[in-house]
Amino acid sequence: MFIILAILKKLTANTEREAQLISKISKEDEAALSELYQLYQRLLFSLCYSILKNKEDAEEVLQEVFIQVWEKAPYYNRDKGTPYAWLTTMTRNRCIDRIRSKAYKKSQITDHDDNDVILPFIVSNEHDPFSATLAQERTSMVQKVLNLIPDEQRDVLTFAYFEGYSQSEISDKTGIPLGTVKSRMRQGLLKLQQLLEGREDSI
Amino acid sequence: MSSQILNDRFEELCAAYVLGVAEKAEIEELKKELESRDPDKLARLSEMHRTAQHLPLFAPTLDASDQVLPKVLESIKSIKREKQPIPISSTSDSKKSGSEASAPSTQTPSWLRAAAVLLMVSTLILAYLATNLNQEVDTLETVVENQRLELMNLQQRVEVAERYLDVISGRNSYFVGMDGLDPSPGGFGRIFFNPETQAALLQINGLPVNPSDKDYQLWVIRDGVPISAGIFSVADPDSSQYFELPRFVDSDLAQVDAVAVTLEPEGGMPQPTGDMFLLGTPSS
Repeated sequence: MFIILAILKKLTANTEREAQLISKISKEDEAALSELYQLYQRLLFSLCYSILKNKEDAEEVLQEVFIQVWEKAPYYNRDKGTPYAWLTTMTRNRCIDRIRSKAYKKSQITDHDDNDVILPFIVSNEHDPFSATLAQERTSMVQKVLNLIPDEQRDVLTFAYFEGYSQSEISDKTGIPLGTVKSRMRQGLLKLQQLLEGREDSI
Repeated sequence: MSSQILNDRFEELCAAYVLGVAEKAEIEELKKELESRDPDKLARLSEMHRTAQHLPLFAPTLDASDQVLPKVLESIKSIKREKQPIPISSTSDSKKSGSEASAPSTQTPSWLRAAAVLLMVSTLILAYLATNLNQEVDTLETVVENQRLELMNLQQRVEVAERYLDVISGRNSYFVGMDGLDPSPGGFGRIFFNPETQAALLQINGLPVNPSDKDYQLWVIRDGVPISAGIFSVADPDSSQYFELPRFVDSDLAQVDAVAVTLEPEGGMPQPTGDMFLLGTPSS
């Protein structure tokens, strides 16, 4: 459990520095944009790839996100959320918009299996030993946490967050009654909250 | 309604909202719940929001290629922001002409003091206008975000409707009707079937809302043996509800003995045990 908390702390400890970078970006500082990119490209690209399941599309969206960061930096308001929340929300919204666009759907030759909602865990080829350790520990952490969330709750959370399906769509696709979908989504999120707060002794 | 059910409902609304999948009516319902500014509710929503923000960490770890950053830096060169630094002309310019150049350097001229006051007042006014403008931008961003959610919702509905239409409008599509029985004589149902795509769609109308611990279950009866074709809930007895049957059990609906809907414990049963609400046969 300590590893999980330590990694989460590590991932959220740079808020002050990141807010400063955004402030510099708002003054058209390209070096600050590059630094923010280096800090976040792995997390945001991983998120893009999980949703879009295609490397080229994921890189294209990542590029769009950082162009948007350049444009929107003057309007970033720290009171409304951390840089982490700002960037991940912006990235997910762009990805969901893309998979919802008809043009994108038509460009997909094969559909992914709707029942296959278990995420593949891939450790990247890291060159930096610390990053490699962090990535491996993060993967390990994620697997531990996910394994503790019941399958049916995890599937609903994944369908919603990484596939962008509404509750009605999940119900339609899986045949699970809408009320059950809602209930599982709530239970899954509460379970995740419980695990992340360290109330689960079995981790 | 018990406080536990109300509590669960509030948490369901929060979960849908923080995951970005809440529908418009649910967002409105959540807003109403929060109108009381109940600190406990606000804290729970905030906690769920924080939890959902960890979900990106659950993505597999991958790096983008080295070409992305140079492309970003190339793209931003062509972007010029609207705001430009205001040029400030130097007051120590030695090439000034006429009275400006001959003014004593130790005393600030009165016109300059007046200009400074004017500049200060203008700055204050501009600062006030900028604050208002920022608030307006925030409001407009909220409106845009709400409209984006509404658009996504509409797109989803259109896509679902298109799928329904595909089932109904096939060249050889047909349906089997079901009539209401004693518990709900006014109810009816139809199973639409497209033999070419093997896609099936269930339409239900007039069935009462099922209790929270029960689900309706659809059965296909072939050679006297009932086989489950899925479970569903009824939220609105006064309008038609449609359900896709992605794993329909029979490849030829016309050949089955009968189709029926019963009310079963939540999650469904391997064999029908509850009251039968609808019954139909392909020949009827």
